[in-house]
Amino acid sequence: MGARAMTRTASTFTFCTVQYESGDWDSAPLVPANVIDSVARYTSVEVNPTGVVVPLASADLLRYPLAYLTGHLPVRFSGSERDMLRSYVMRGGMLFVDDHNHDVDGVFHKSANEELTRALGAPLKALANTHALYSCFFKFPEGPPTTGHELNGWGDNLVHKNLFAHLVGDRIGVLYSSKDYSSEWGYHPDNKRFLSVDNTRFAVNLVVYALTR
Amino acid sequence: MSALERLARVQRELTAAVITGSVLWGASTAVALLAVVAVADRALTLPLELRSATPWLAALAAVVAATWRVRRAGPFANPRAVALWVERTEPALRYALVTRVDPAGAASADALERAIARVAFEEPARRAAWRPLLRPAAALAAGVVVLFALPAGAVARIARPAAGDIIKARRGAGDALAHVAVTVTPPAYSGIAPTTIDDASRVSALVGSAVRVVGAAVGEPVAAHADSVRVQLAEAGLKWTADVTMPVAPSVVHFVQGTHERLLLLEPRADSAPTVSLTAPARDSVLKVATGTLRLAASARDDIGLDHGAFEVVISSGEGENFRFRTLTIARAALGNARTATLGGAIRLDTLKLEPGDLLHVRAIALDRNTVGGPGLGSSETRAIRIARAGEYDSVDVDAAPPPEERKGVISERMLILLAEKLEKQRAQLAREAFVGQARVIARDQNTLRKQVGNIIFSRLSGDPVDEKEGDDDPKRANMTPEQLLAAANAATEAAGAEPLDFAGGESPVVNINRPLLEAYNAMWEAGRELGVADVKRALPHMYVALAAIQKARSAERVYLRGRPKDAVVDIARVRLSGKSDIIGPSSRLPRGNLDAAAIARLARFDVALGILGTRPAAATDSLLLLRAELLGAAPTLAAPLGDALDQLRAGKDATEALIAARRTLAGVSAHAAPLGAWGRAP
Repeated sequence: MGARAMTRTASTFTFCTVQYESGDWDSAPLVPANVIDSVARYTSVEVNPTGVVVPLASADLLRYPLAYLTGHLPVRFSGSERDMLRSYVMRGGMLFVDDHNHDVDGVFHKSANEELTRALGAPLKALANTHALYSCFFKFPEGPPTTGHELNGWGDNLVHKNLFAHLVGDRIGVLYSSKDYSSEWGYHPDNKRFLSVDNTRFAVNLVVYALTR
Repeated sequence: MSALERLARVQRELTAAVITGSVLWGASTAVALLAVVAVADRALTLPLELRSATPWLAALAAVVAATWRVRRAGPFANPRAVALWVERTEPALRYALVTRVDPAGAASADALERAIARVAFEEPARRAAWRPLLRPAAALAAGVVVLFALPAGAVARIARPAAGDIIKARRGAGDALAHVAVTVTPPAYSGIAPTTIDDASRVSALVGSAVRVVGAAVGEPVAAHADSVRVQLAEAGLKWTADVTMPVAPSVVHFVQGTHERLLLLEPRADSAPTVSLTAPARDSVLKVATGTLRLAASARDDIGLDHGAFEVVISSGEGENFRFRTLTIARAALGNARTATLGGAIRLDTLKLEPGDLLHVRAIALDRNTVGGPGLGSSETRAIRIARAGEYDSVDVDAAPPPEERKGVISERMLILLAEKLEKQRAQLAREAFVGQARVIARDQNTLRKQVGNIIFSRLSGDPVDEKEGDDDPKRANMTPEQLLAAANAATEAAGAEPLDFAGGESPVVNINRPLLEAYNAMWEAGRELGVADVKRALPHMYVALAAIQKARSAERVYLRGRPKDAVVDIARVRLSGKSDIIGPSSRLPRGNLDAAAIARLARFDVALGILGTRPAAATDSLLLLRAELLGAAPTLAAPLGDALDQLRAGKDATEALIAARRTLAGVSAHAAPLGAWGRAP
């Protein structure tokens, strides 16, 4: 049983939501299922039907190549969380951070950027819209897809042209979004049938990029 | 004097001679070793490590030699052994002395004393004891002569070896760049002692450090330039010196003497700004009144030393477009060049004359003692303490937000209308079976939504919350027609009317609230029935009515048709590859990205250096050094593995692994510190 479980974990992609001690890390409970659905819908990647929640300070985080972190409230990492984040990024993991407030003046954006800068030793930089992330599966020639929340004018009332990233060599270690994909993808996957264009396609790129780079 | 007393005097003299001889042998051995190493260093320029070990090796050799000589001298502490030794030096005693020492000869002691008294054995014994000391004394003298014969400083390089003495002060022809000593003197504020490195190819030091390069002034004059700027050299005594200051950016000093060249890479190390963490207040807060004391605490650390720290408080007052700011510095403390320190303080809020709505921004700061490019200022994160406005707590003060995400998981009447309208438009293109099938799918969803509406109505009428699943299965309610349900609602309304409720417009509040939902329920019933028989056109008006009624109910009291979302478990097998394939890119995995022109050029230079490493190692090392100098400025992360390889090469060690790692880095192939498992990339 243990060996089978290990095999499954090692060979099957599992969506990982990061739990941190401060803030509302669980503010987008339907995103994992939606991303998992898209991975299965468009790729042949073996994927677990449910995601997992892993504390940021836990070494279990190193078992997952892609980790998702979101929230509305101020983010204050503990020392062990900061250490594990640094270790995770340096060892090849990719952390996707999304501002659920979609507000660059909001507390999540400010505090998360402070914490990431402190943990990584350098501020995040704008990711070029020609980066391989935008073409590794679906093609996004304009860069990151726009969300309905941006177009509706909620949050900071901006349409963000770029995502931000911390690169390790030429690989993305941390990807930061102010576009609020957490709201955009926060619906039951069965309701994709009502969409003329699946708005979770970019999530497939995130997974494919994390697994192949 | 008896024979035994005379023997004791000889024994003492013999002991002194043996000890003196052992010391001489030990000293001569040590001096000989020092002389041999000094001569060898003169010829070969021995490394500092070997020269540093030589005095200790000489001392060890002296102890071993002296001990060996003492043990070889025999049991001179035993009177019988000494008597035998005396008998060997003076045969005229005819064993009378040995017999006198032996207890068995006590019976004839007088005769033995008389026989011994006739022989003067002391002088022959003294000569025999001291004669062997001539050879070690001569060896010691020869060694001392050799040491004194060596040039000035040669013995000091062995006896008191130190970094920097690799430079031999001498005149004549030769390679002045064969050996150089580099002395780094960090800026005074750092308090770090100067260090000297022999034969350094790269020097890492704080920005602003004084770097002095010293070499032997032999042969042609030496010239030097750093980044095309000439470096002034001076000759002092029999040495040349070049003084440079550690620049902000990496730089290479190029020394030239005729056909000889030498490179020295200067690697600046920046003095980091202090790191400050605010521990109190721990979080942002809102205070009802501006009274009491706000405790402040912070910690700071620096790589060199902290000068002072304080808390900064910015108070903003006002609103709209009219704001005023005040800045205060609190609890300034000298930190005495400590590497770590804690700051503490307090603010008495009532002394700040704060008004409702004022905002305090609190942060801690610390400065280091950097007098070269600083001082470096470090600051903590900022905490905001707000004083509540009057009346702020009198009403519900919430920020407007969109409905929770959960409601998106529930199919809505609006979605059903969109589906029905689309289906009606496609009626002419669809086969009858397909049309009927899709209409019945919409009908099923319509009935599901109707049951949810029914659940809400039934809950209101009975006053008991009804679980959605249970409600669906309730046969009593499921079999009720709309008319029966409406009658039940009215009956409940009448029953409620007996209670002291706030009537409006002649109807009970219950009916006011529920009537739109009842109307929606009825319209959904009709719509579902029409959709069930594939009459979409007749169903649509009922659906419009239902939607309008739901909107009306929402406006009344914000009723959202939603619940707690169920745990979503994706049916992988069902959705596998069901997405639209025509919008997927040609490949799910792209090869590693091409290197840019600069990276290709760097890789080519690295490969050229590797190619000549076997035949011209010095040139290859210089090429790699220049490449590292370029990388330190352009791509610091790529420079580290190259530095490891250079260190290995300079130390004469096997640099294969380090060179492989450097090349992989230059080629854009990352390596992990530890494997990630199956998803980890190949190391």
